[in-house]
Amino acid sequence: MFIYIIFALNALLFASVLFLLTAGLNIIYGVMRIINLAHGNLYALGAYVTAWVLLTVGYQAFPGPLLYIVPPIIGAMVVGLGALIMEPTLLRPMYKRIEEFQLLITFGVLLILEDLFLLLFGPYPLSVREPYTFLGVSQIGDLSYPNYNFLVIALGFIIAFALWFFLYKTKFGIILRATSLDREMAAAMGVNVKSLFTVSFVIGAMIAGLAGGFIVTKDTAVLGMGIEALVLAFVVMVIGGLGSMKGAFVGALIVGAVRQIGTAYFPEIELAILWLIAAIVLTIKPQGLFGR
Amino acid sequence: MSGTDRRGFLKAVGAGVGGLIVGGLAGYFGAPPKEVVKTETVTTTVGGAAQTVTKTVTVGQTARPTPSGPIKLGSQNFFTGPGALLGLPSAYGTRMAVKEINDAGGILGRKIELLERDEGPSDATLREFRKLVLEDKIDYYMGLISSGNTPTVGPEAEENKVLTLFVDGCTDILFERAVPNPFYIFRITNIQSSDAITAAVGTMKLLVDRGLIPENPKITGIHPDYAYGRLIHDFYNTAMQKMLPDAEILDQQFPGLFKVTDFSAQITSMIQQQPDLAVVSLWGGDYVNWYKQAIGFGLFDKMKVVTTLTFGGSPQAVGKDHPTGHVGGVHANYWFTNPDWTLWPLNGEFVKKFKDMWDEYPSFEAEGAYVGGYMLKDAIEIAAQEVGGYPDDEEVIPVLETYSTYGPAGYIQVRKKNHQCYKNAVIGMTGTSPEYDFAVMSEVLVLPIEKVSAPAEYNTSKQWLESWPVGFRP
Repeated sequence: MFIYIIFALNALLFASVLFLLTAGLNIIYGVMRIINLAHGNLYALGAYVTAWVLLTVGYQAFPGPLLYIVPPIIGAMVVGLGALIMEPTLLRPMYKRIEEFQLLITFGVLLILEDLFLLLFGPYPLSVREPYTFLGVSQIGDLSYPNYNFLVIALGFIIAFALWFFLYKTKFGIILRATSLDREMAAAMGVNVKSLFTVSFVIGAMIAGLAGGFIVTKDTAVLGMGIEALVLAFVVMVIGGLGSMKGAFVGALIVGAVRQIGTAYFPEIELAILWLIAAIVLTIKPQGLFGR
Repeated sequence: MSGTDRRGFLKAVGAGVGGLIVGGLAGYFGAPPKEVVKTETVTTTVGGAAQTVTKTVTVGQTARPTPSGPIKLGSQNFFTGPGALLGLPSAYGTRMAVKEINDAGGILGRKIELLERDEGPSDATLREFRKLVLEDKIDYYMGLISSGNTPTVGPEAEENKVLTLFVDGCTDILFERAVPNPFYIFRITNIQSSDAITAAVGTMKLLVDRGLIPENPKITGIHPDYAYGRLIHDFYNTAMQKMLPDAEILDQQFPGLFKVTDFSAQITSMIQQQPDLAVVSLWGGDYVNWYKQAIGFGLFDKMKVVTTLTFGGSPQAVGKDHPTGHVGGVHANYWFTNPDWTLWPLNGEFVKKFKDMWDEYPSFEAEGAYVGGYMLKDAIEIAAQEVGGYPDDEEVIPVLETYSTYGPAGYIQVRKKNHQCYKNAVIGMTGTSPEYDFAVMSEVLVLPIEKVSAPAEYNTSKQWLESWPVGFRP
């Protein structure tokens, strides 16, 4: 019985990370109509910076709850800074060109970042253990569950709520959504589309960086992590629908649950099941469950 | 024993064999070329006892002059990503051997130029290998970590006639199916079936015989989903069922190699099965992620764990938070504190030199690559004496086929039939030591290699394993 609670928590954990990744991708796609292939390594950059901060400064420098707040935020801010440089210099010149250019540019950034990680952080995985182990475990019946995982699950829901509030309850969010629906009309209404694009890109990237910053304590920062994460984020996007925040949320939950069930009961074909579901959704509803 | 002493010892062996053959051939074919024979005496330590060895070096007119220019040694290892935990130590071992050899004058006066390329997925690895062969025109090749890559590169090396020493990539498939009659390729670290059987025998001796798990254990597991993980799963469980017929093999997990960072789902599924034992063949970054998360789920408290590669990467990669009292593997090869440094100074000095050079302790890949570098040197030099000049690959290979030496890990020998090296297998208990700030093998179990590997008369390791009578314990 208790094992099913753990299964559910695992599904939520995986869904939380996937949502954070996909939410950023969707904001960027929704507003800018760019499929940002570099997104996976923006997530990895957040992970690397957070791990590097904890390993060089030391976890002792962040007393109490600050250990769980400051390093990932530093990671997210570095990613945000990178995005602030990337959008006007690399992406803006591509907006009026065909989509293949954008894909090439963002894929190029993905590869450059991968080499940059190697150059800056070395080839070995960066592993930080303290924030994960300090929180201890909870007993669920006779089973243990790491408390840190609750934190990651909570983060997913907090960011989901914050994004909903931001997009639907603030003026800026309404402008953002309006621009995503009709860019030219928004510009005609006096919206500074250039700035809006930059802000959207930075927000999307920072969410990915924050996800990386939180996940690195549980996992490790390792070369290639961004590419693997990107592939799964695209599965979520395919299921949920391009550009849909609701789709990202539901898609992440579906993928999280399917992966857990697949791993528990069909371990030999766990990944195949995931792709099968994506294929079914694409066949029945090519725009995804909530795509426009 | 210093590097010079060790080389002296090897040269003595080589020169002895070579001298006999050269002398014999000379007597058979007629007058030998004019030679100057120089003899010097060095002291070496073998097996803990000081021995005086006479080293004979033959210098003279040779039938074939030594080619000018450096020897180009191509090498591939994982330099990046989760595989770098195994790949970089291998590269370090190769570089250290190359540096020592070059500092001592090279091989027959030729310095070694090391051309290193990254190892990756099979297609990328093969592409880089072809570049090394076709564009860089390498003379010899060393390296490779993954069992997914040696069966791909092996046939290519044979086709291109490149004398190749695979450091690892130890799958049985290489010499059983991919290249069943190897000529140009050899492999240094122990064969993979020995790894699986060592883990199984280690389970018996360290856990079952001590009553730490029952004689009818329920066994789960997690393995990387490629040649290595599949073979470990097959061989380990077959061996366990031979030794313990009442063992129950449960469904096991097969995540993709380096494709998963969150193992929560797999760990929970393993716990759900309520096993007595989990066999784990994840390696590199995958193992680091898995064990860290498994601690959080309390997996190590609920079952005993036996691994093939806890200590397979750079030793410092596994922190002191790793649970103690489980069985940790080194791919059945080498752990840096064994053999004891006092009893086997060759190991102590190797560890010291490696630590001084790389600021980390050597792994089994490092030891294998280092020994491989000297194997190549020795074989070329012995062959040179036999043929009276710089030897072709076809003249070096017969020397390698019957080659044996003492490395830091102890005695190692090549089996002519499959070009595979064999040395005693190692596994042990996970623990900690005040001397090191990482997890260590606190109790080392050394198994004679003939107990855990198929004899030469068997075509496949699986045939040998299946020939075990029920209840057999090697």
